[in-house]
Amino acid sequence: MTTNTDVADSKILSIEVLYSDLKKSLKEIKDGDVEVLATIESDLLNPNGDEKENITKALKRLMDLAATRAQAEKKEEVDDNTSKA
Amino acid sequence: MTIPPRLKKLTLSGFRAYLSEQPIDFGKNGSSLVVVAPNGKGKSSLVDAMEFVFSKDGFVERLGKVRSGTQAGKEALVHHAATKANISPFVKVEFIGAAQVQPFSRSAKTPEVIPDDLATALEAMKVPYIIRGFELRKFVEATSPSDRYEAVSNWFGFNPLLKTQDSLRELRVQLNRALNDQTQLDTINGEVKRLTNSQEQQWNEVRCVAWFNDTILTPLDNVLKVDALDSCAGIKKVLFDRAAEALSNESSVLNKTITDKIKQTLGNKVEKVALTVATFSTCNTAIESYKKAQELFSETKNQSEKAIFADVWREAELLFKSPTIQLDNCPVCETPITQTPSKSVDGIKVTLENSLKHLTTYYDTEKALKASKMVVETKIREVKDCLNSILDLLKQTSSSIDLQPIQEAATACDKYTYSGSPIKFDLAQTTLQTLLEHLSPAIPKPQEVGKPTWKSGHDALEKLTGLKERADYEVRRKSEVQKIHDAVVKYASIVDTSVKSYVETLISTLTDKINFFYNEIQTGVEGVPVIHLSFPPGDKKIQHQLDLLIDFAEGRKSVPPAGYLSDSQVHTLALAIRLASICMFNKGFPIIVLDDVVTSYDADRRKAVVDVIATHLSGFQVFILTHDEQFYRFLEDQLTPTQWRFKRISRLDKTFGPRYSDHQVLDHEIEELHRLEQSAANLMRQAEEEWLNKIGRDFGVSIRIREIGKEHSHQRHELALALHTFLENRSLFPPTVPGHQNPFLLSLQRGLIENFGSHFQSDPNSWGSVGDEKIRWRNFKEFREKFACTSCKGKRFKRPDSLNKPVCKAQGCEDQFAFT
Repeated sequence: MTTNTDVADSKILSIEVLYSDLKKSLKEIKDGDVEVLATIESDLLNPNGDEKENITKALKRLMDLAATRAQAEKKEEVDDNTSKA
Repeated sequence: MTIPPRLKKLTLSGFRAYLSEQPIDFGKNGSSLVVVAPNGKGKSSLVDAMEFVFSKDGFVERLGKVRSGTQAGKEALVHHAATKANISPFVKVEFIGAAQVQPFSRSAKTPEVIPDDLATALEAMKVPYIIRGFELRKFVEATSPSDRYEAVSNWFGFNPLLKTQDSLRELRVQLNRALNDQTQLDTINGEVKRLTNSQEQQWNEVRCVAWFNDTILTPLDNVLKVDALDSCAGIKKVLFDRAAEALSNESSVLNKTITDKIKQTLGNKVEKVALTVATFSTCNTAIESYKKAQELFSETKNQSEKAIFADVWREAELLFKSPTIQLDNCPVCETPITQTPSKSVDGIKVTLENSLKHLTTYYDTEKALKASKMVVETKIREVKDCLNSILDLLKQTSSSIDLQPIQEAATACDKYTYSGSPIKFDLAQTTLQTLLEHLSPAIPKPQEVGKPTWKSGHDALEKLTGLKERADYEVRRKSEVQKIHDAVVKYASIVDTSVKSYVETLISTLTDKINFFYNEIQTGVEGVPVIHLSFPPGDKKIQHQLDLLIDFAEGRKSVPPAGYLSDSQVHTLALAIRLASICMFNKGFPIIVLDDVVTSYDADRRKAVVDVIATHLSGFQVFILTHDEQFYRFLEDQLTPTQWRFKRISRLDKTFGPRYSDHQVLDHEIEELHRLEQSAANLMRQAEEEWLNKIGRDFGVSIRIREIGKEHSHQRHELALALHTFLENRSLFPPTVPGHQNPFLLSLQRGLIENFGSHFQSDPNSWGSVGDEKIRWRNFKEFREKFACTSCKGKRFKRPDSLNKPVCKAQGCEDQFAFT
């Protein structure tokens, strides 16, 4: 019984630790997207703050990221064409 | 390390059943407390006080904040007689010093906000700490899975984790929505539709290129052809150059227009231009005519000034109508005929005829002058308009010729005063002639309306390449959003798995503890079911629902408990859940209130509950309220007296509140009332009874055991008789109190039965005055003083069974009792 209580107590106290463990295990994923993960970490893996506001912030960041990447892709294409020419 | 708070004292005043201020002391270590009392004696007021003083907003849930339906509202917190008795209603809590939480007194009328130190301490109280027997079963029977989930997630505090899960899920949904959003493509398609005059409905590079070739390029040049928009730079350049050339031709058109205008102004014959258009020369010719009309008018005006005017003529008309008339005087000036210059009637007639002719000429010349002025006005306006028009057109050219003379000529037209002098157009004329020499008169081939031009072809191709760029960008952007969406899904899946595993571990720990408590209370019962708290089956996400199920028997696994357990088992399950959760989550504020929780139990279960309390709630300050004497006795037997206090509410005094059996009326309470000239009869009676109880207990007097249910309700006369008998049997005779007539004391001395209401006055058939009460109280106190140790003056005695007479209880004294 005592053991159970102790386990529970340690778990109850470790919610912050769980967030930290969670971040660690997400970072270890192969083929992960570092920029996407950074957004999730900063805006969503966080016990505080307004939920809706955080989602809006994260979505905006990710959409900006998609736009930046799409533009960068075009630039690469142009650079490739220029160098070929 | 923070020491968890424990109550040192709880004070109630004017609150619920408690009218007068009553402190309940838990000692310096914060002992636990058992209160036993029959129903309706004020037990629940203690529970209400605890709930009230620790609640966020200062109210008791079962009473509600406002009076509504069956709820009495906040007004029921205040004792109904508190206002009349001028008692301020409040509950005060004091904590043991080590907890470092300051005392807090809260008014029942206008509850104060909980101070920060107590609020911080209360944050550790995650699970409702008051367990009321009557509502215990709700968590088992009436709580929905989502409410149960809500409660448990609050206890564990894992809501932030689940919020993270929800947020990730919502983020995925929104990214998916962004993937399916067609707004950009719709805009592009709309532009395609407009560009192709609805021949194409949506963006398709091959089809749009075909449209361009067929509709735009071929009519312009059937050799040119666009194969793909990525490689159309060459054709775009051709279109650009041809468009520039066409633009140059358009400049020529402008020059032609200006030239024509100038020619008009200068009076040259211009192709397709009406001959009536004003020129400088026609303007000045008109001015010249106007000048002549002016001169003629001036001349006739002089002559007409000398003429006889119409009114004079009317006088003279008779002369012409009657040729034979003989006049002595001139009909106009009445001068005698002979004295007029003509000296005859005929002579006057000739003079009048000449005057008439002058008047007619004057009228005609004035008319001609006005007409001439109008012509001049028209001509000047036309010249001015021409000049301004030329100036406007010239603004569109890159001519470097000074246009000031033209501007001045236009201004001169504007300001012409009709003096008859010609306007000086010389400089303007020279400037216009210079312009004529510079401007190319080349006339381009006119364009056909509605047909594509090089420029429109160039613009359309430019537009198409822009649309392609936007459409391609949109495709790339969508592809990136898709990749991001996939990454979020991957991360969300890991978060889901981790959170679910974590939360399930917590729930499993709680479930183990619930099973443990359930088994403890059900000790000795065979086939105790296994209890499960579990999430409904589903995907990785934690659903916001928590099922409470039991494995009842083979073939009856994971079934709802209410359908299989007996009433008392359901009660036990509910109690086990609450005790398990309080033990797990409220260690930071270890207080439990158990209000009538064993009502539905038999003796074995009651004993089991006592065992659980004694063994597993030792770290908590427990407040047990019960009306069950058997349970009370079990508790008294099992619980350590040093850590527990036992109290009995003997009765509910409407003018005071619950009276505890160990309650002692203090002398000053009575004397204060007497000082205010108020009756203290009830308090005096209480004080006397308390003294009787105390001395009877100390002396070990014999008294008849009361019937079941009234074990502790000895009447005062019984106590008095028992004491009297005890003293008499030991030849201990209380000394008389001089001058007293107190039947109560007499009853003690003589062993008489006396009744309440009769011992404060000499005459048993009348009511005593406050003055009588004061005398009786003084007498009683004098009498009471006789019961003191002759050596140390101590007031407490004891009488072990081996002794006949009591001895002083004071340590180191133990002198035998005797009256002084």
